[in-house]
Amino acid sequence: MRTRVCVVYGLLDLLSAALYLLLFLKLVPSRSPLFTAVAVGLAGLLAAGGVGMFVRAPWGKKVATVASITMLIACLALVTLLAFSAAYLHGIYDGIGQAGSAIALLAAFVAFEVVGLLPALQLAHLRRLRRQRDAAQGS
Amino acid sequence: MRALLRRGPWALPLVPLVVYLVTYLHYRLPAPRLVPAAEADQAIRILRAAVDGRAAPADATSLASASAGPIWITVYRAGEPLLRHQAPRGTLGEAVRAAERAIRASAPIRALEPAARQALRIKLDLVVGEGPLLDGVPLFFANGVVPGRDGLGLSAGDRTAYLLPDELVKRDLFAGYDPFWFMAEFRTGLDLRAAVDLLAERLELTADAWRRTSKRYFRFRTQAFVESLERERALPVDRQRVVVDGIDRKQLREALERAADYVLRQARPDGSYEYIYYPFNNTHSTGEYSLPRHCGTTWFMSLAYRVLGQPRFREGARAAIEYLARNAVPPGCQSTPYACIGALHEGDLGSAALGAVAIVEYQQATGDRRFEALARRLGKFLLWMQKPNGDFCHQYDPATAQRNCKDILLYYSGEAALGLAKLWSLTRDPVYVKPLERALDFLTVENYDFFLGQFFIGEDHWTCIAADTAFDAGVDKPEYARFCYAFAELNARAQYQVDEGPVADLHGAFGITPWFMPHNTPAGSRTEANVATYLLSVKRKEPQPQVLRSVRMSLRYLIDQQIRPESAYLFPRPELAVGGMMQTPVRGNIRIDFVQHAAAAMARGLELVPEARWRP
Repeated sequence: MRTRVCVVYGLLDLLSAALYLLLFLKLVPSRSPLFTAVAVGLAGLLAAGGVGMFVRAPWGKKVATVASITMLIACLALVTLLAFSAAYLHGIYDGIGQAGSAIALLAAFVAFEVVGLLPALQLAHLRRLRRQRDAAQGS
Repeated sequence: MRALLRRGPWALPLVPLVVYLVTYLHYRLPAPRLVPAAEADQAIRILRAAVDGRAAPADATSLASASAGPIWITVYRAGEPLLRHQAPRGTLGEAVRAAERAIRASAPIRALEPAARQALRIKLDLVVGEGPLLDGVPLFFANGVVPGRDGLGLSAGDRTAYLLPDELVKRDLFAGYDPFWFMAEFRTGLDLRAAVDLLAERLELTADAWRRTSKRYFRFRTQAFVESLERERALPVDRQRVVVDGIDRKQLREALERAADYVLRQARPDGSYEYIYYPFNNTHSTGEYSLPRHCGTTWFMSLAYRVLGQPRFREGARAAIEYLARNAVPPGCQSTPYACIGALHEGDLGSAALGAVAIVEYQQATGDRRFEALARRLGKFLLWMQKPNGDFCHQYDPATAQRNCKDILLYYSGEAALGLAKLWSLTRDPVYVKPLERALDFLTVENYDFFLGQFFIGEDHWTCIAADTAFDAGVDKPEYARFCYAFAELNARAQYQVDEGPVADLHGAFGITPWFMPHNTPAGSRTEANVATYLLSVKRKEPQPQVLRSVRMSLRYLIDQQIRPESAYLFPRPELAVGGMMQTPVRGNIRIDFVQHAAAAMARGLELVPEARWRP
């Protein structure tokens, strides 16, 4: 059962990494090489984390843990940037209106759901695995 | 420490909130201290005396209001500054005294004849706030200047250059930045390249000095006044317009007449119209012509004659219909029982429908029956283009007599329904009644019979105008009224209100968020629909007061947006621009249908505006 869940997470990681690459290299390419490099780097790390979920060796789980934490930090950075954008427009235009508020909140929630939810759940799963392993070693 | 590390991550969600607060406080402009109207009046009178070469009527010392930055006093001639005096931060009195001296010493002004001096317009722009811009990110930089209200400034070393809001609008620099290189049609914010070039030019720095100097871009907000037409008062200006704070029927009638005269001035000798006029540089577009818009504009000409009774509008409508009859019926549609409008291989439903509408309105207004046969033949075409489900085929090839029922075009089915309703109202021929009913059944029910169709309504203004007209033909169902009430309600949710903060001056317009300027054509077309919806509700004995309120609000907006003599200080030929309706409050092009929709709403909504002053 444990292995099956790891495989599901691994597949989701690989799928997400592929989607990020498609998004940032094909569909919405950025003018900024730095932004593209960061996006590709994150996608690579996520893919590595996905591979880490497949392998049984301890390093695999470590890579997956690092990838998940990095993605959560990226998610926080993304939400912060969205907050900054909304606040900038709010300051400049002295209000963003109901539609603007709705768009900003929706964007923040979608950003969390798309970027943050999978690594958060995966991290919780990895933590549970570690506890189970520690408990098994203790007994 | 371990406890902090363990609990610390739970505080991370606060980071975006803190960032939001700090950013907002950094970039907002504090509430401005405004100059009272009486002081501005006094300033204008003193400056006018200087322009006319008379003694000053009062001393400027009493003008004690202080600005938060420079004060500009501009003397406009034919839309261009003949003299612009920039006074440093100080009181209005100091600025007026200095400008008065500059005006009296100005050779170009002194060289003018009294009549030419009288035609000059004086404008005051006082900085009431200044704020930073995030110029490192182009998208943020481009959208950091509020369209029509903010100017852009640049400090480089010990020099500072300014671009006033008027200059940014006049040079058409808004909606000039394309943030996504793969989406060229999406443009938002300031044209940064052009704006920065202008500022660099004003600073008179060499390329080398430009590179070496540290630069700080900023925005500034102004309080503006323009001299009234009788040259006695200072009229408050917001986004380049003298503010309209309420409306009455007389004012609306005047606006309608100005619009009709504008359209008449666009008429070419052959009966077609100049398609687009650029009022800031007094030029016309030589691009493609749209026959559906020709027909819609001609309909408005007939409406204007019907409402205003001025023979010049009747003649304008007649010439435009003659153009259709003479030039726009392709050979493939000339000897057939039906008539279409278009070119050799292109006939379209919209042109035929609105052509019929225009002719019917013309005949009903004038009693002149010379085009009735053409209208009836266009009616046959509409009937023939109808599909079994009530919808219509939208395109037709006259050369091969083939209908194209695959390609769907915006507006056409609603226009066809209106065409049938209007034809019935002229001819009382029952042949139009069933097809009209089927068209409205389709447009109001079947067309939205899918999941997402329960959440939105598209550009269905023609449908509601048709539903109102159809009522008189006995084609009336609760579904039509419910659909139009829902359309009005949906529109009302996007309508700016008086307490809408940053867009309160645009109240009555339909838009989303303050950083996209509302387009004026939807304001016109949705108001046309709302007028029809309200009239329909009255006929059905279920009047909708909220729709009436929405109509009056948007009519105020349309008058506010119309180029009026008192607001026309930026145009080289104000007498040609007056009555025009720009694309948005800050985009200087006038296509004939921008005026058509706005003015048709005025014509049809005239009776819904009280004689006494109305304010929302």
